[in-house]
Amino acid sequence: MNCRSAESLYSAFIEDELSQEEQRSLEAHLMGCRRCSVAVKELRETLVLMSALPTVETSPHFEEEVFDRIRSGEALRPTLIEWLSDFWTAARLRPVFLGGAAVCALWIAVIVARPSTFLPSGGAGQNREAAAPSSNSPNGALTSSGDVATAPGTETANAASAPVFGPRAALASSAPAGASRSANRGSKAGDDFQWVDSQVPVAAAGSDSALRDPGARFQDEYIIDQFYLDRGGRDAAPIVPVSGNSTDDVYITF
Amino acid sequence: MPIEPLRLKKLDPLADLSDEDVMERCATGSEAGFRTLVQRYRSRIMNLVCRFINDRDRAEEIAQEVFLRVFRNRERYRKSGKFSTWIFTIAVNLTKNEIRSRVRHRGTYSLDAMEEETGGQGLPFPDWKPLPDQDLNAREIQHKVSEALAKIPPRYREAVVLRDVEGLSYEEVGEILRIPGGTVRSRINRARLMLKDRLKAHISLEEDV
Repeated sequence: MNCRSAESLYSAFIEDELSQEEQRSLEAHLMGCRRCSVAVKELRETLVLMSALPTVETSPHFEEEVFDRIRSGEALRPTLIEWLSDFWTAARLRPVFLGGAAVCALWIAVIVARPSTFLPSGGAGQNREAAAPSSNSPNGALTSSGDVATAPGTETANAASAPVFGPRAALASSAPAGASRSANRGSKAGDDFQWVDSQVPVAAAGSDSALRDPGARFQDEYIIDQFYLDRGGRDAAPIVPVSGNSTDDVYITF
Repeated sequence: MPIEPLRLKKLDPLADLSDEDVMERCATGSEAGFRTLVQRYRSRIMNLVCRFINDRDRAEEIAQEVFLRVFRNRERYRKSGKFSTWIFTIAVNLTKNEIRSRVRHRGTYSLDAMEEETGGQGLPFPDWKPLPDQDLNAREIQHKVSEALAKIPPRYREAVVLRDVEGLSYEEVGEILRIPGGTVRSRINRARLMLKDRLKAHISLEEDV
């Protein structure tokens, strides 16, 4: 045993808490090490001095002051930590958790329901059925999913005034996709909205064999109407928005 | 015929009850129960807090706050635990808050800083009653011991005060400080060695005397 390991056992040695083996080992070390044996002696003296410290008494009015503070009530207000620990009890939190779970469930339900509104798995017919009654309403109305239902014959006007929702007006229309697209292109005049196809570098197409015939490209190679996915085939073709973000460039290649 | 005070004391129904039983009564709203607990523990709590922070006036305020918290949380107390451990835990936590607050405000917490604050007029040391009958040398040594205690780091001080001043078991110290038994023993041993080093001169003086 060296001095360092002996030092860690001083207190246990003084309080008789060492095992027999440890005790024998330490005693053997103390026999041969004056420094450690003196240290143990000093430690014993230190404990004697500690135990001789007088008890610090309270003032004579201590008890009455405590009761005065209790009677006044000012000292009985819970601290912030106590208030929080009270608040965070399971019984109190149960309604909070239930409420939070209900809100989350509702939110998830809305998220799940929204794609089914716009991208029906059962076919575009459902979507058309859902959109058609709205299109028959005399005035535009904001549906719960944020759609604007348009009155018949106002698709172009709506597309011009509200470009984001304009394509949805085309959705309600029974016109073929090509007609809708051309109608929407027509509505671009005087509008801030930039159609993606207007951004295609047609003028520079000479160097690109794929863009030699821009018209053919638009019709045959790409559908670049922004946000739309033609799900109904070229002929039936209701145009379905892919996303509401007007900065998305969605190119569907056939 | 007036009843003698001694007889009244004997008739006190709470005198023979354990702390836990008295606390149970206190939880049901017994003022006598709470008064009994204050009387039983006020010196121990005051002593503990005062040895921790070395400031008598502030220690008394904190000791009062300890009892107010006991009263405020009387319904939370569970009889399965020892009352002494519970109340000492409250006291230690409040004292730690006080030390943290002092460290924040002063940047450091040391006896030297307190000496500067008192303008060298002596420390606000916890000798409440004058001790005219005590030997001057003994008082000086007590002062040195308290001074040495106040200068060791708080985490060692709290362990050694609970063990050597309050006389709690290692298990109780561990429960109050929420540290494992091995750490308790290590801290107490380390604290005692620090105190020994600080008091070495006075220990020799004691031996010479």
